[in-house]
Amino acid sequence: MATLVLDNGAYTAKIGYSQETVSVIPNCQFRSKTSRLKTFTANQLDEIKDPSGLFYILPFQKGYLVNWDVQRKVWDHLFGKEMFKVEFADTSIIITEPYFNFTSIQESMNEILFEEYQFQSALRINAGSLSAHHYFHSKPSELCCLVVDSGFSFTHIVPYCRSKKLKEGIRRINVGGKLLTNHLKEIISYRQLHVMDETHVINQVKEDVCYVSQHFYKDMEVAQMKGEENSVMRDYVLPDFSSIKKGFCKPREEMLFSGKYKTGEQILRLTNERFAVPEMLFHPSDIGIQEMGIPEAIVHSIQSLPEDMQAHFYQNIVLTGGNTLFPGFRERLEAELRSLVPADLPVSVLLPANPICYSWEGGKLLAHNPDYDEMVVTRDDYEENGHCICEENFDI
Amino acid sequence: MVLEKKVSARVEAGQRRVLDEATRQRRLTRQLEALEKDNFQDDPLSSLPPPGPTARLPAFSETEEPEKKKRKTRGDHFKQRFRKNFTTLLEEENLSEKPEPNYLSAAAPPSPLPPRHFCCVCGFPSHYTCTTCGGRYCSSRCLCTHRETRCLKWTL
Repeated sequence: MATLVLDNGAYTAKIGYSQETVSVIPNCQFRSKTSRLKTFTANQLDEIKDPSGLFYILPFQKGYLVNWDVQRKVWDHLFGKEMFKVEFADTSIIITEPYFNFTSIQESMNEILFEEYQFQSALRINAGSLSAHHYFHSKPSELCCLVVDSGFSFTHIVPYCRSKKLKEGIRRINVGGKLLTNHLKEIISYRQLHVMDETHVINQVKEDVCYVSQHFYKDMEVAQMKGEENSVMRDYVLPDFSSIKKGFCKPREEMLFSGKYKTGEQILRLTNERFAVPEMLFHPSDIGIQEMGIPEAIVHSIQSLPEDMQAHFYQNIVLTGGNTLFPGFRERLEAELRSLVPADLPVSVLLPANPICYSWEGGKLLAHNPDYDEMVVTRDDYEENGHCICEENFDI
Repeated sequence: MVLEKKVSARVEAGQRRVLDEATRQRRLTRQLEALEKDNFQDDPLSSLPPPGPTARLPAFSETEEPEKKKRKTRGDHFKQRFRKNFTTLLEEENLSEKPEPNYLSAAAPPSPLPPRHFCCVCGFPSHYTCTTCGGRYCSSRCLCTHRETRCLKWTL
């Protein structure tokens, strides 16, 4: 019996059989201005010839699955003949959900998995629990860990002890990749070029050019200098989808510090936006969101737990999610924590090699776990007992 | 060449309207909600004219309709149940009745540190506030740009 592991994220779905490798596929539908009638699903994004002004249809809102129409269409495409060719009666599925998922959404998911798709058995679990499982598997001597999952919609800080999450320590910061991209679009639109419609392009800009600074005010001073001394400034060449398919950052040797470029490319000149945008993860109050940043929330979360466990949590912090890929994120987080945490407690932050697929890899390990069959709910159980058996078995 | 006298932006301050705190708060909330949007343009499909009676081919409609009706009712059933947005679902959860910890209690509290302010025009650290709308600026040149473009635009 095959096991399909699906990390159902708000931006990308990480999906794959437990015997094979993971594929990262956008979890939404697209419409483009050029081919108006056609709606592209998930990885059909590569077929779009002109991705300018791409219109996104996301099934998730604020991190929770609200639009089942779109989600079912994406799943139909993923489970169908072109992608994973799932044999539902013979497959078990591990699917992830956000923390504190609403009961109505949980019930809808049960119905869709068992009654519409008719999987043989299913396991609904938080993505962070899979990451914790992966961590404990790689470090068997540790009992506690703190998972920081910074994704598209929000950031969660969740303490785990002996593979059980401690609900009183969970903290949610409503800043995620979506907010960072929208903020970057707004400031570029105000200062340079109107890009409010170009989510896909600016997301690429954010991933290529933004970084987390280690000395914020010093970088601000450097960014204000003119000419060659400004080591922060970068020029980004925007794609025009005819000759330049994908945008890229111009290397420093080719940059012209005075005057205009002779070629007809569209250029964005980015200075303080490069590090001011990821700074929102550390200080959401910069744009007016009344919440603590990630380092303070970590300290707040750990301080709400029993004192004898606190030292163990500070030593086992795991970073997952797309936002942790900003260059300098781990070092900055460690430095900020070091200044907030009492001096006698050692602090250690782990950034895995692939933070986006870390939970999926945890799911793969879980599928091979001997206890797996006791954790799932089979279709027969669900048909006899209904939603209450799922509520008992799954710890969401 | 005649040199123009530089008009000070501060001189007009006495004649300008000052927004009160509630309006400023409303503007800020609107800006933050705008950051949560998925798309800033309209759906390309919605701008197309809806398919009218002339669009349907008469030859195929009789055979296809019974099948379409069956699929439609099933799809409609799901659509009616599942077309709720986030705020509706949150209210339905009725979280004030449920024990802590829950979705609302997990939200991170406000930071004890004071917020940092950045110029709304250039993004560098700012020390001054626009008297009318409360936006921050760093230098008089940025204040001029702010007054011309963003100050008091889109006010409720």
